Amino acid sequence: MNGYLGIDVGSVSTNLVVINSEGEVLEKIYLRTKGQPIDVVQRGLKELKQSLADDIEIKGVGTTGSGRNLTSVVVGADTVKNEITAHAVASSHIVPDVRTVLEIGGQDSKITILRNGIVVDFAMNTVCAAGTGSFLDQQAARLGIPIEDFGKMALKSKNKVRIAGRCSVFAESDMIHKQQMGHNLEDIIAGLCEALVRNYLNNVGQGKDILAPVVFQGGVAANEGIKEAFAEALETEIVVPEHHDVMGAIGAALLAKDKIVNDGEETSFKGWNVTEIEYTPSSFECEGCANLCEVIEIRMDGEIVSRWGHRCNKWDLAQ
Amino acid sequence: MKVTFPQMGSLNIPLETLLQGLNIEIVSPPPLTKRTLNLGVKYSPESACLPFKLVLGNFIEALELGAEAIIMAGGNGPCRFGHFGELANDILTDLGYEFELYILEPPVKSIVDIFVKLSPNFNWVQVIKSLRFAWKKLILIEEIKKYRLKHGVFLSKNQINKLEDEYLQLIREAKNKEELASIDHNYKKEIDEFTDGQQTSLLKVGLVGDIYTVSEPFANLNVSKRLNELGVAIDRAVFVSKWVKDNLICGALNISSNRKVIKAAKRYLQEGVGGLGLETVGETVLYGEQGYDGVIQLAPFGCMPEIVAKSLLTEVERDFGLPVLTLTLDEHASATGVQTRLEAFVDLLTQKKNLNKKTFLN
Repeated sequence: MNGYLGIDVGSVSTNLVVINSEGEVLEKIYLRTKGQPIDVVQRGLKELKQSLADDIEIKGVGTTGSGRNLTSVVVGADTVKNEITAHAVASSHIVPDVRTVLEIGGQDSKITILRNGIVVDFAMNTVCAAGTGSFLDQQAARLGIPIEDFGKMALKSKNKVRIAGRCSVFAESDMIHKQQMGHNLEDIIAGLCEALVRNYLNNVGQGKDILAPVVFQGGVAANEGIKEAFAEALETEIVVPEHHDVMGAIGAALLAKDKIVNDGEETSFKGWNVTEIEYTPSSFECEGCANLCEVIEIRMDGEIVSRWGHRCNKWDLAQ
Repeated sequence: MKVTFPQMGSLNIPLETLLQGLNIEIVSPPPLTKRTLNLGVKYSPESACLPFKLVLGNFIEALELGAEAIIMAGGNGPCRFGHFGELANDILTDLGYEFELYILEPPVKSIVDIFVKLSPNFNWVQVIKSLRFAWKKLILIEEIKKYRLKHGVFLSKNQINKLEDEYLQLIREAKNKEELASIDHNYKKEIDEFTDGQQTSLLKVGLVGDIYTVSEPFANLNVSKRLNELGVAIDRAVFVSKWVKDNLICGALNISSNRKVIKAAKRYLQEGVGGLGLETVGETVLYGEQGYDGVIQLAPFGCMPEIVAKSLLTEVERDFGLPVLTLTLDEHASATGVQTRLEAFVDLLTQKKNLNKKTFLN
């Protein structure tokens, strides 16, 4: 059976999925990137190979996320696509008439507006990451609640407390203050969910025409409290897809499938044995001129296979 | 007295020509680097805008290289730019630098006085000669940039950088207008050779926004080259020569030269809001009327004029069905983030354009 591999290497998580020719998810893996994208991709591939049925042959590979270029060098990708497009592709595949995609990940949040299956507008948080997954993680840890239970607790609230959500540092002090005043935890958490949604809609969602159906995806979509707060603020039902946490990888796999099927090409996938090869990234500052470019290079078993970050062509690899 | 001035794009080249023509000794500001930014961020108020931080950092570097005086433009109106000179003066004095600061602002006589003072042998014939040659260089620099923006599509960033740096250096060294003419000719020929046989661009995008952020590639993380690389042909609305003509020359004569832009903006904004806010709106409308595929607005974080413009662009976007992407830039902006947004924007424009043909997965 044919399979298509999608890899989404983000700042916080790295996701791998394999889909079949119908675009159904056969296998998915969600890992923490921990600042070691190559390592984690290799680990993910190893796990994937073990759990995947033997008769599945990888016919195409797509990468996305902030580590998309690096990963494409390592695994040999057929398509390399930015995560905004990849996410939109995945959501319109799963909910074909979707008109709004809300997405909150580890360190970024974005909104994508689609009409008739076409992306017509998008926005992404720029200078602030208040209210993304990392902050929720941090707050859950501070309160000693597993992040998985965070949303469920919010749903128990009867009387939400208003939390200042503009800045995550101030949100934290406000929460501490509310705790000291004697509010119960459920109400504070529900208030935090509401504040994050308010902040998201005011910043990322500013000036956007949010129409139903609304899909909510990204790691934070697992949080029922946030989902509920969105439903309340937007006065519409919020759809959270089954594989909401790996939508970027699904989009990447779909794009790879599309390309391979349309162009009738062979995949550039280097095969499962890439997990055995040693890739070492390194960087140095070029002192050739005042630009002081930070050049990054990747070595495969000691040999340089890719290099980027330089302004001129001094460090281009000879073809 | 060794004089320095703010760097912005390739402005150092015509300014060197002008000042050297007046026999004023100069210290050309070094190219903007991470060090410039770090110095600027360190000594600026946190809420100052990116252009100020870069200019301040660059002044410090020039003072370290032995500059004894700084010349910069001033201004009035709601943009913080009018305040830059005084603010930089206070900060640099507090840091212990000894220098003289000359702020060029109307009336014209005060500007002339500054040059009379700085030039050891000031004479009008020389002034007009240098001014004309400097202006020719400025126009040529803008011309080669315009040509590359429009025709240099699918060229890699590195290719463009190398070619552009090489030709800018030639312009810098050029001694007469014949040399300039041949530079112009050769540059265009090289770009044409590079792009010959390449795919032609399908997308046309207009670039609007704050003049500093649009003109200085270090400030905008090389947006225009990234777009060229992605196969987009660009028209840039903002150039220094245009600004000088609209604001200094026509402003002094009290005639408005950018009437067309102001008229275009009229439905959305009737008054100047400082900086290029009004122009950003007007130029975007004009791009909409000319059938451009999209517009990118560049704004420094916290730039009031561009924030006003941005909220109005939402309406322009709707009225013309013209997608607008706003990139807000400051010292925290990351190249990866900018690249991702640009790629997604190009995908959006491509899909929109091919609405009737095959789209992603449909």
